[in-house]
Amino acid sequence: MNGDTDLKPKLVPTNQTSWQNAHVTYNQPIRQLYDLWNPAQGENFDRYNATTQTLMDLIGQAQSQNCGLRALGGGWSLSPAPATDGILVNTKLMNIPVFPIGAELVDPAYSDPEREKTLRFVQCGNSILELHRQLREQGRGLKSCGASNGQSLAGALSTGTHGAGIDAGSIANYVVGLHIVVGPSRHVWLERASYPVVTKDFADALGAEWIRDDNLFNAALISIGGFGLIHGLMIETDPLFLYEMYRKRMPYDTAMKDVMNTLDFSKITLPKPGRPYHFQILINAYDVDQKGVSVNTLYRSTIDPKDEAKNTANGGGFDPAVTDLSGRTQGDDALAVLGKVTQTIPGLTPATINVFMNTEFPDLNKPVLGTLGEIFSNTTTRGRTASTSMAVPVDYATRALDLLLALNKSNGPFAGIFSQRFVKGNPATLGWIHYPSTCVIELDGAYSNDSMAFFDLVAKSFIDQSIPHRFHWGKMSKLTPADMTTLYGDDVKQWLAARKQLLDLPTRKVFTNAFMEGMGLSADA
Amino acid sequence: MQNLLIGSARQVHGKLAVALLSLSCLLISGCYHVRVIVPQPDPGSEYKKQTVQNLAWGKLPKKDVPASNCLNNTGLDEVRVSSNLGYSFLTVGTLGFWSPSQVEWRCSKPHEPPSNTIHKKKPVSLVLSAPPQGSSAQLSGQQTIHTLAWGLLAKNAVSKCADSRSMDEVNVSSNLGYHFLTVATVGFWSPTTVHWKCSRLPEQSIMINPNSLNEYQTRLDSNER
Repeated sequence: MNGDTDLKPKLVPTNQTSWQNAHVTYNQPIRQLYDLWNPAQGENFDRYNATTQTLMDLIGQAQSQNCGLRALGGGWSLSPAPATDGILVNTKLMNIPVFPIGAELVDPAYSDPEREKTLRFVQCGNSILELHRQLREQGRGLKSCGASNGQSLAGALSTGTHGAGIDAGSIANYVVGLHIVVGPSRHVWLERASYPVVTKDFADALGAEWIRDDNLFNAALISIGGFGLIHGLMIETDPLFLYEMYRKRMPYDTAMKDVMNTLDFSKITLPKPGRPYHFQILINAYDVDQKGVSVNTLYRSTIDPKDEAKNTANGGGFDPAVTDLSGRTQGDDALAVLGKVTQTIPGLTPATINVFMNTEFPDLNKPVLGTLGEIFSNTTTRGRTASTSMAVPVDYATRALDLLLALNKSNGPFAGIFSQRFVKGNPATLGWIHYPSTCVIELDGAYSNDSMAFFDLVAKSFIDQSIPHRFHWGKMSKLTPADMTTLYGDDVKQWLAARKQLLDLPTRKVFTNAFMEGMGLSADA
Repeated sequence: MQNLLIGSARQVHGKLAVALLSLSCLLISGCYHVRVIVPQPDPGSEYKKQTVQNLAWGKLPKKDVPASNCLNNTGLDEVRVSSNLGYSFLTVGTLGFWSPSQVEWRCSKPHEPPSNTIHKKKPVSLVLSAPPQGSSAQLSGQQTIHTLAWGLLAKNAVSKCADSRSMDEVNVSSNLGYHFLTVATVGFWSPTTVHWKCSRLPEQSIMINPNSLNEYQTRLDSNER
């Protein structure tokens, strides 16, 4: 083994000429897909810093070849946000475990009372699953996460991945610093001036330029991959908690509608008193009138994580959070076939969705107890799915849902289910969970032309009905420059201005893809 | 009323015809995918794909194909083997002489040692401690997977590689009987047997080996280098 080689990252061409996302919604021709491996040996922080240089070299290579460059995380996005016809770099292998931060590196003005105990520095390719596992070993946990765990942290952040933390928010709410490679010879440590986290010494340890700027940080926070290569992220963590999850059908009546539009939970009786941590509504359009909506709530438990086992053992009052990956499930092509079948015979759709809903989301007899990592655990993606999602201000929640139900009656049937997750907003410039209290509406279903047509109709109807909204960057949408102006207003200009400030033109060209150009977010815009 | 009934009957016949047409499409295009995955799948690579042609009742080819993309002692996170009714017809039609299948695999992520705290003054670099040695006995398992309804209902084989979180070797085997069953049920029922070995710690490098044993096995195994 050559010692010198072991201290260098390995950039390995796979010679793939096409790439497909995990949900198989498109196939992208590419020039090259590289696997980037951290140096095999050395102290972890030295290995991290060595990899920064390789990322800069990659940008230089893309510039010299006059092609695009994109970081590839878990590949879970249904949208072409991570796509490029140039170079893809697989970042999943850049998973050096989380770094704790020395107390002397924390800025005196940093406001979190737990200070360095809260902070962890994360290399971009760490998956949500890895973070759950690593943090648990340290008695810590993520403040929130999406419904599954396969995404890389940087990828999930860049498209605005969220859970249903009504007060905790999404990933963008707890990323407080970014280490971004912004050119072939430049990388920066970026944090907010209004929320200082670490001292300049931290940036010096990275060898990075130190920038504190609210506008730049908020623009880069949800970047759709357009702000360079995010190599590292500073996150705020929570102490490790258990959560109690409940799910039951409740009438979709006036009281429920009030709760959905206000998040004032005093008007209905939920499984536990008080404000839940997580609030989600699942709607089967084909039995909502008879059975109501399925209400999914999580509460932060007072049970010590050390006592989890005895509380989930027989007679303990809770079920453990278990994901059975070995159970029988749909095959890889099932959702695509289901899409074709329901498109051919629409009359089958209600019965099919009823079966799916009853199988996947039955009422829980006992609450489930687990950490966030256990409750939102392993999922294996299978086959081609259709999914779109948009955020609306919370006071539009039922107006938006009623519109969906009406459209399903008039133009359906949509072969899928609707859901609403309620999330605290974040200040990212192009963040789509944009409203202080946001309702995220999701349409998930079988892939078919009918599903795509239904998504188009919903998008048009939201504009026609003047429902303010923004689209999930990682799900299906068809936004034109005019749509961007209508939905995102001056935030588009701010985002583009920040991008110009941080990236020079050749680098902006490298990090502009067709998805962005289609929305008017081109390199010279 | 009669016209309504006739109309309804026509609609029913039309729908039946469409359903049969859809079923026919399924039969033609249906694929059976068998996955062997670790308990907590977290791949480090994209799928790498290879079509394997098992010839001469599994005696050819003899040469292993290394999973050369799994570097730095990483193992296998997932192996997916795909077949279809056409492949089964071919196998049965040649009495097992020719049995193709498609193999895809994804590497596991590198197992990294915990990171030290970042301090203002750069800490003295530490030599990495060697990962704990695994026991001499390598965990392994076997399962027969029955893919049903032309691949619409599937099941994963989840290996019990809790410690190493990756697999060194996966054998996916079928036989003439299985293929007869697939053909006889017009693809509705397609069984496959999988056998896996978990990675030792430290892991070994991986080899993809399409060389069959006695029948039509696709074998992905390790080879210490």
